[in-house]
Amino acid sequence: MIVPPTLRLPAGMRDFAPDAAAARRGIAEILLGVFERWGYARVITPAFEYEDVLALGLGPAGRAAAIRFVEPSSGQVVALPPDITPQIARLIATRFRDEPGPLRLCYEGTVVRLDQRAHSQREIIQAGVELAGVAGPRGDADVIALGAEALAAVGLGDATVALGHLGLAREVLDALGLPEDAKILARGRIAKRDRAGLEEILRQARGPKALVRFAAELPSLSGPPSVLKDALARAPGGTPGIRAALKNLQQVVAELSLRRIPARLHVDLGEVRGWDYYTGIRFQGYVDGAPDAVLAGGRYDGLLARYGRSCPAVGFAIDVEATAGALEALAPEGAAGALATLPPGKHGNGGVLVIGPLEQALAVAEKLRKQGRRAAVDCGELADGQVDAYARRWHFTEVVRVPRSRAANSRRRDRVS
Amino acid sequence: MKRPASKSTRDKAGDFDGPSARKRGIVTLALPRGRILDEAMVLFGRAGIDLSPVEKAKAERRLIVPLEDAGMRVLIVRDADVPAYVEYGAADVGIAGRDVLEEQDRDLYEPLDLGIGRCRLVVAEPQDRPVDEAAHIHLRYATKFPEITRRHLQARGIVAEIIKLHGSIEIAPLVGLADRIVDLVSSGETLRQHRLREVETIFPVSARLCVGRAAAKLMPDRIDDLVARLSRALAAG
Repeated sequence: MIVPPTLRLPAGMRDFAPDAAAARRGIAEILLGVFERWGYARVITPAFEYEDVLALGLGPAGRAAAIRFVEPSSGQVVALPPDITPQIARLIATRFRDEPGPLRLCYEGTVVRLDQRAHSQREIIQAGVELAGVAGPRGDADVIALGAEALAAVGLGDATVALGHLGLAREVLDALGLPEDAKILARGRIAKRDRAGLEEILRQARGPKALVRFAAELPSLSGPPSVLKDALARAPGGTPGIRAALKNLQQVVAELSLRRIPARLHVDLGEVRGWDYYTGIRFQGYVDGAPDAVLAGGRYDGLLARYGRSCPAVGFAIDVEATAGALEALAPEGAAGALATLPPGKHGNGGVLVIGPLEQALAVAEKLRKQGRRAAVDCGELADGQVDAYARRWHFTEVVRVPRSRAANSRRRDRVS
Repeated sequence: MKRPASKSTRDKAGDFDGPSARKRGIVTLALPRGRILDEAMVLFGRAGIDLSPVEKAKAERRLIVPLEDAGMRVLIVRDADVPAYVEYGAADVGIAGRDVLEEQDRDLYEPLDLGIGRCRLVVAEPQDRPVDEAAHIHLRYATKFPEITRRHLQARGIVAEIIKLHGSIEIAPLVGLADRIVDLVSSGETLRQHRLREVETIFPVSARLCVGRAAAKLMPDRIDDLVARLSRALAAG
């Protein structure tokens, strides 16, 4: 098939047909509903911003992921945000500068990320929360519990929350006295959980032996929360930063146990990836049916200060598309109910197609809509034989035929099979 | 890796089908055909995982092979396709050469170097027409590995055109397609036959176990067990 060049979409951009759009909208609505029930107030951030303002929060990797262009009216460089958190940070530091907090904000929006490797961009619908003004493990646990609850609400109650701490690997690598390029290589090997490769790099480390041994363990220190006790036992003395990070994780686990979250906990001390602004705990939600995390978040106590207001904060975002993908993948195996309940209007509140002389048909439709039903009036396009097929195609579960006679009561209502 | 004894293998053959075998605790392993497969057979055997059904399936041209005793199933795929299967979660783990993994640079865990499928990725040129890097203004490199070649040349500060080929790389310099090649070499015999000489080794290659991010989090016990068995087999061998 030849698509005329004038009608192509840029790589990575796409449309969602009604069913897919309804599923995604349904998921986003459920997520925002949960966020709002937990006291988070919804905000909407702009489609693009000045690049230098976004860059304050994004750091080098985030900047590289942003699509930039010159705003014609000002000649300034603007960028589509690859991540909404810096926008919220700016919002909190400016609009809510004098608000004592804590601030609970949530959002739903689209981010666009360049993927250098795929020579393409990706449009991601996200729904997320930011909790600003609450420092420490209690805030972390609160937000993680909300994330688990939100996933459960869309039908992904069998999630695994992986907990890590970005400060940990940072402390370890800094204490080792590695040259800067070796540090980057070491980080890469930890990210790949490549123990042998990491040990190779650690040969140039100048730090104490116990520390080097601990560093070499980082890729393998993952498993149930009891891993933390093990790690604390192995953590070398004289490294308060490392112990503090591990204790911080333990406190989060303890806080979470008070909350009985609908997810399993997995601790992963080799987690070194993430946006540049993360400072402490880092967490992801994994579910069957999705090859990567559907939820990702963490603590970023330094981010708001970059925008002029020093304030601790923690948050996460859920990838709505990845969530829909996981639900679709799981659907044939018994979770079908989860997805089927999602598209509003498609199921349950089934639509009505009204056919007949315009004036009467309009009156019938208006009445139905007032009752909260979905109703469309045929404008005379459909031949008799087409009506049922059309109704099925667009999920109208009922066809109302208003007769030409004035007797309104004699109208026929047919169920669409 | 014993599965619960109560499960009759015959009744549960269907367990090994379908996209979400992981939910039923079955580890899906993507294996490349060829030399890596033969060597993996030996290594996995030492780790207590019998891959002989894969041999049999290969003869019957079946590409999805249940390993009921091990609670695993094997997908037989092209070597360059292994990382994609694992990244997208169609397989939980896979075995791929460092050449393939570095060329594709996908987001996978690589917990173990299996030490099999050993060779080297080298730069080579005709013995009688060595390249003077400083003098050349337009160099052409032919390779199956354009990304690795690009990174290598960038690190060396060499500006060159890279031509992606899918095979018979060694004839490219002989017929004027390229000045140099970047290719895998084990004994060096193929290079000698084509009157090529090695300029430098980019890196030594061996096959690694790669693990998908979700699999590592959703079935940590099974994955850790597999890694532990294989590292013990490696240490013993």
